[in-house]
Amino acid sequence: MKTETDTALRHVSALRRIAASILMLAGLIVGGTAQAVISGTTGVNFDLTAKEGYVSMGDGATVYIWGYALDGGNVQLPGPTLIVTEGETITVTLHNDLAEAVSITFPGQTDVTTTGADSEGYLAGEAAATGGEVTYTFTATRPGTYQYHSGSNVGLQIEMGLSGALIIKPNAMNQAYNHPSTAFHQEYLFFLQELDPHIHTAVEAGLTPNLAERRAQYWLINGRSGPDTFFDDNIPWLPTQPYGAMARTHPNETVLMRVVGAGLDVHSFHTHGANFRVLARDGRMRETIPGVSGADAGLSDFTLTVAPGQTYDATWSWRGEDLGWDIFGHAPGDPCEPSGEECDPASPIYDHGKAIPVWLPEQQFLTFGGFWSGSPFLGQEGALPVGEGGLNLDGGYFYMWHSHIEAELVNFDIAPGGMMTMMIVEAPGVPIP
Amino acid sequence: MINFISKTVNLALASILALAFLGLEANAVEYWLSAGTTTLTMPDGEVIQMWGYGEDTDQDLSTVEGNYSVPGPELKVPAGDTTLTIHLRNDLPVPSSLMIAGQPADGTAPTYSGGRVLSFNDEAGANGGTVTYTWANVRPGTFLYTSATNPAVQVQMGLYGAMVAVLEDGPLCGPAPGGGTAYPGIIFDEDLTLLFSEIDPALHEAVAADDYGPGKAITSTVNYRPLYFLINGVAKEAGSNPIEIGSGGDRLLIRFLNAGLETAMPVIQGFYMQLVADDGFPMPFPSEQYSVMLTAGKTHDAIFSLLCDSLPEPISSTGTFAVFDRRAHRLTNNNAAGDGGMMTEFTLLDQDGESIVDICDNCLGVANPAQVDTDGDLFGNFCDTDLNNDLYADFGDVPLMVRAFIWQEEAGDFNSDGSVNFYDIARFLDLFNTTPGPSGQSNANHF
Repeated sequence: MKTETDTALRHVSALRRIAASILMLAGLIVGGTAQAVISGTTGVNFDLTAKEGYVSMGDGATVYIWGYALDGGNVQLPGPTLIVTEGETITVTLHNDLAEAVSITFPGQTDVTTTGADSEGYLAGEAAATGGEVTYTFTATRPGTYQYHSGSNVGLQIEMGLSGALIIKPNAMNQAYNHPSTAFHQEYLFFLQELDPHIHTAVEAGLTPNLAERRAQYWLINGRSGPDTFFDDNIPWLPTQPYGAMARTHPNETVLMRVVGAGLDVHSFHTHGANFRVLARDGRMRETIPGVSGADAGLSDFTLTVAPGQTYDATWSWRGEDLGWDIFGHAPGDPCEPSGEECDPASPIYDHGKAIPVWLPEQQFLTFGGFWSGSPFLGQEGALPVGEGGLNLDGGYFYMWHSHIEAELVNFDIAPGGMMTMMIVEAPGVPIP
Repeated sequence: MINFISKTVNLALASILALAFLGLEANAVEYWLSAGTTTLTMPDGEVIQMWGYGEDTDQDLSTVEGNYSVPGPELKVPAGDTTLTIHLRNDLPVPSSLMIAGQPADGTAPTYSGGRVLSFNDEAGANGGTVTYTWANVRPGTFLYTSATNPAVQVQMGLYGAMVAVLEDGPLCGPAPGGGTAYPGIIFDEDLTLLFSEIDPALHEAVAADDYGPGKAITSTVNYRPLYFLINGVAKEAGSNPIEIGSGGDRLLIRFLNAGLETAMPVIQGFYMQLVADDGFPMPFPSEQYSVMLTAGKTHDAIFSLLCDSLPEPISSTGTFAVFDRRAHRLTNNNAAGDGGMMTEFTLLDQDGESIVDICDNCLGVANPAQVDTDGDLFGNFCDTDLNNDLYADFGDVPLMVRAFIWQEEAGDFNSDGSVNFYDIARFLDLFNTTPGPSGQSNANHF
């Protein structure tokens, strides 16, 4: 028996499929490959300006910041992600529009030379207040995930936003380091920091807040607090926070997590879905035999302790192991797709044609979230009531990745928000990004 | 009179023999400590009431010497010693005690009152009580010693210090006087301690005024809010002295300890370290990092490589680099103007004052700014009369010296004044029958 609602549902579902197809097509045309690329700026010469500006928090608040801007453009949080290649000589020129001296230090880069400094800061040569300029040069000797931050009035200037990520890629493609143990299919940056808005307000008012009394109220990934982390890169309504933090992958692929502890407090970054394995810390592989064994000494874990100043590389992978049911919703007679492993009794994903071991409830017994595609099976969609769903066009599985300090999942006391984003496991063939 | 002298000499000889005997058999080290009140003056002038440990130098625990410090004296257990004894006198107004986390003491037990633990081990009573602890199987490594009584209050009041036990003594290379083996296979030429801690002045004020405790102004440490941040008991102030390193040898062992209640993130600007131990346990493999995550109560040991060749360019010229807490909001002295808190500098020693740091200096002990090293063996000419490079200056070098004198060869111009003259011959004779050097360039010592 058909009802009007059923028809309407089917209609919506069809529209969603069309939308998905268009997106897929667009992805194929634009991307060409199904690989996530970390947003940032590539090259060997970078022109940064320290200046003031504002960012938006997930609760709608506006926070005054100091940040690094690229090529005299918008101030941004975090500073531009500098993506360079091993062996290159990197030059970073810093202009200063702020009313106090600023600088940049590059932890982990051991041969930085400074030219034209107006003064010496605690950790680096400085560009003088209001119009100063300084240039830093270093060789990107060792691949890895690094950060850069101000070396002047360090506590306040890091708090205000003067930091960013530096990624040195090895010459080998799709590896984090020069060892096959660090190979990946998708890579994402998770730049973790926190803000105490009282300090920012006080600085904007020309006061000198006591950093020892700092207590953060906003917790950010890539400069955004949840749920803004879900949005794409470069969305027009967050002009000073260009980097999103939503991650996507396909089953069985290896995701490289580049995690940066950029703030002043420790965070516990938790990956739902599967454990990760740590490859490197501070831009150096965790090796049992240095220079030989590759990244074989890192632990498998599901909560990464992200300490201020440190960086981490880790790999994460998901393929529905040991679920006991077929995530593709195959019937026993269907072909073994997408891989023969499903039909191999020796494989941990030997579940071809096995039904999901629960009765799927009728819609009237469900409440809906935007991420529910209407179907429990990967890449499939089911009927949804009018107005429900809409955030999961490709029928992916959503795993929340977040700070395990649950108190950091708020925006100034309003939950949910803060240091949270999603990892979406998409069906094979769904284009990423 | 003669008899008296003879007796004295005999006594002295007996003492020396006894000492030598003890030295050979040494397997026990003993410390006499007292705990009491003292003050620390912060760079902004704030005077903080502290509790500290001091060494009782007359070793009788009967007099109060009042030399309490924060942190307490570093307790060293020499190589080969397996037993440590600490006698503690407590001059605080409350019972106190001492423990070394990671080193279980013998024959001591927690102290209870009404079912509540007061202390993790035996206590010395208030206002002059004493107690003795013995550790029969001291494990080599870096450890914190602290009060074991009401640690939430007593430790943050200042009752903490470093306890260090080495596996083997003796430098294995290089001109450094110190050195040894910290853990199996972990050899160092010199070592130093960086102990991190914090002060919440409100809490200290309350404890000192007896305003702390049930029913009083402050009832717990739950609102602990430190405003001063210390490395080795010192908050950074303008003009404060840097820590001198690089007296010789290329392997500096840094012992990181956190006696505070918050996490510290020590960073040494421009360098990587090899983390080799964690809570006094050697790590299964070293971890190369520029930062150390130092949670409360933690110790870490790191080997810091002081090779001249690997010094970053700005450091090899200035010899100074920053050591700081990357939790940089703690680089403050309660918001006083200027730098503060957990920051200091390492400065590389240049003991002969020619503006070339010792670890890069090819001839130590004399200013040789030209650093001429004709034969390129890393021993500067002024330290290198071993002209035939057999690592010994002797008759074999005489013909070469004569030739250098006649032909005015640079190798014989030890003082780099442009000619081989009688000064250089005098230098040649001075260094006759010696090995070349000393050179601060560690590779020169790794033949």
